[in-house]
Amino acid sequence: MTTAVQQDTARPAGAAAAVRALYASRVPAGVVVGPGGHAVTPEDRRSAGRPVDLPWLAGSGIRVVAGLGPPTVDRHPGWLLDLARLRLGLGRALLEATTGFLTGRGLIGHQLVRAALAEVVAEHLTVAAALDDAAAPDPADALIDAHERISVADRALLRLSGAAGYTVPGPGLDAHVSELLADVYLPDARVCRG
Amino acid sequence: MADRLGLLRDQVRDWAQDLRPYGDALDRDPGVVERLLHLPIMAWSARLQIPAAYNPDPLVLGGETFYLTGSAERTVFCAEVARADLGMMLALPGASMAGTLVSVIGDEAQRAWFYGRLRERPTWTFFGLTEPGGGSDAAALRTRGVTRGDEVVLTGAKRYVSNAVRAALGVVFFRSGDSPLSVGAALVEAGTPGLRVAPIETIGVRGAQLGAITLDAARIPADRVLGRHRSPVRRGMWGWLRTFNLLRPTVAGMAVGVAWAAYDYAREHRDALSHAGRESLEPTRRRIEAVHRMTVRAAESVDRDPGNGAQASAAKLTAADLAAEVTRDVLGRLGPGARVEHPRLERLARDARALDLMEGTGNVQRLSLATAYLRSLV
Repeated sequence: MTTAVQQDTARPAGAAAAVRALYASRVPAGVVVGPGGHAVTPEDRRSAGRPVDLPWLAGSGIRVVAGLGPPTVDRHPGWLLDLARLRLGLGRALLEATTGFLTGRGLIGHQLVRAALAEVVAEHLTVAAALDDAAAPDPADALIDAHERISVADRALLRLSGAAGYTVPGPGLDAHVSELLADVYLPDARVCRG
Repeated sequence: MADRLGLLRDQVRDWAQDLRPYGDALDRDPGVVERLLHLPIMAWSARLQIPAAYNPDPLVLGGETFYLTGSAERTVFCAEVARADLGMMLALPGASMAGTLVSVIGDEAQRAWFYGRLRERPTWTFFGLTEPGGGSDAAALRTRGVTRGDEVVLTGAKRYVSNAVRAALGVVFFRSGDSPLSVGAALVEAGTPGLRVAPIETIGVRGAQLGAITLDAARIPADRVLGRHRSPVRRGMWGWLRTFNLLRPTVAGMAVGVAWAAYDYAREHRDALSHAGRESLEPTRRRIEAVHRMTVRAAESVDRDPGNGAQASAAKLTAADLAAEVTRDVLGRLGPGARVEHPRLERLARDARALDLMEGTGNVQRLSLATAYLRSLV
């Protein structure tokens, strides 16, 4: 159920809307604080801490807060799984956007381009299988792997987008927010080696 | 993994242990497999992969019945046997790829004949598709089948055909004209006048004993042409594509098995790992687990819709890459001279290379998957 909700929100509406929807469904009040005392939250959520000035997030409806003290992510069971599903949804949206971009540029017929897209499709299927298997014996580590794979797949897509993936607004922005979510909430530094 | 498939996995894993001691011997002498027919895994491989209508003796485990005809069951089976030894996996007797094609496009009489032959005794089968110079490209197929009365005369050549040397029967793809609809396949017996088989030496999977088949006006009864009861669009290429869709996850399963085998090897030889090589194997284990899970899902997907092989392509290309990566990684962990000091691992690395080639190379799968994605099939 959560899979559908998060991914459906993430795919058409983008990262900020997906984060707002996630909070609305999972966090009735307050914010979820990551291991470093940071949070990514809807703009209208009240919290202590220090808002971080990120010009590229202006107007998106979400914000980043620092200096929040002890992490609370452990008090929100399923948060990392929800985030992974959200991020996979964003990754799939990025795949669609990249495909549209490449089609528009007349590049979609190139075998090198198709092969790169296929690698991402295969990676998304692998991640989706991992996230759907609630019986996995090592959910925490497997989840971190899934997050990392999503980041790597996103980076591969951005390489296909050229400068179009580097503008605000643009498909690269959601990928960047997606990495930011991983950065703030994952328990170690394995966020993106793309 | 669903409990039902878990039952099968556990049983096959147990049986497959019998094969491990013979892997090296098989690598040196493909004939070794013929001396292992008393092993349960051999007997069951020969007797399964036959549809319920023709098989009164399926495998029953914990009240569940297995015929090993679906892609998911076969994928689980292949992964476990390959985890013991990929060469052995490819050298097993039974219906194998030819059986899948017969089940997809064969008529009642053809199925009864083919499966009846397999039930008589452990029998190897071959799948004669690939041609010299043309690979497995349907458009490039050059073997000709010309109907003369109640016979079809086959002329052409096939290459890299697994078990060709020891097989008693199999299928041969041919074309009867120039259009895509003229591609067909026929059941052919070893010993047919005009059919010759020669072994091909390979670097890895030597147990599969690849062969080259030459067809020099080989005459077969016309009723051995598969799918004669079907319309031209529902045989040949149609059956071929469905057969490959069903088989591709099994190759992915084999690749996952090889990756597990290399991982197992590293764990069993922990003391031999170099200082740098002792870095945790946990990420490797989790990656294999994730690809294994995705592979079984792909097999279940193609069981539901054999016409859509997109997930099967994804599984095959991902798992084949994984097998190559993990075997190389474990060799690296064992330090200089690992290929000399660890012959089983060296064989695994050789065997893993074959997985990229089987049922379409990784690059072919990438292009197929991209096309499927662009058509919203995945």
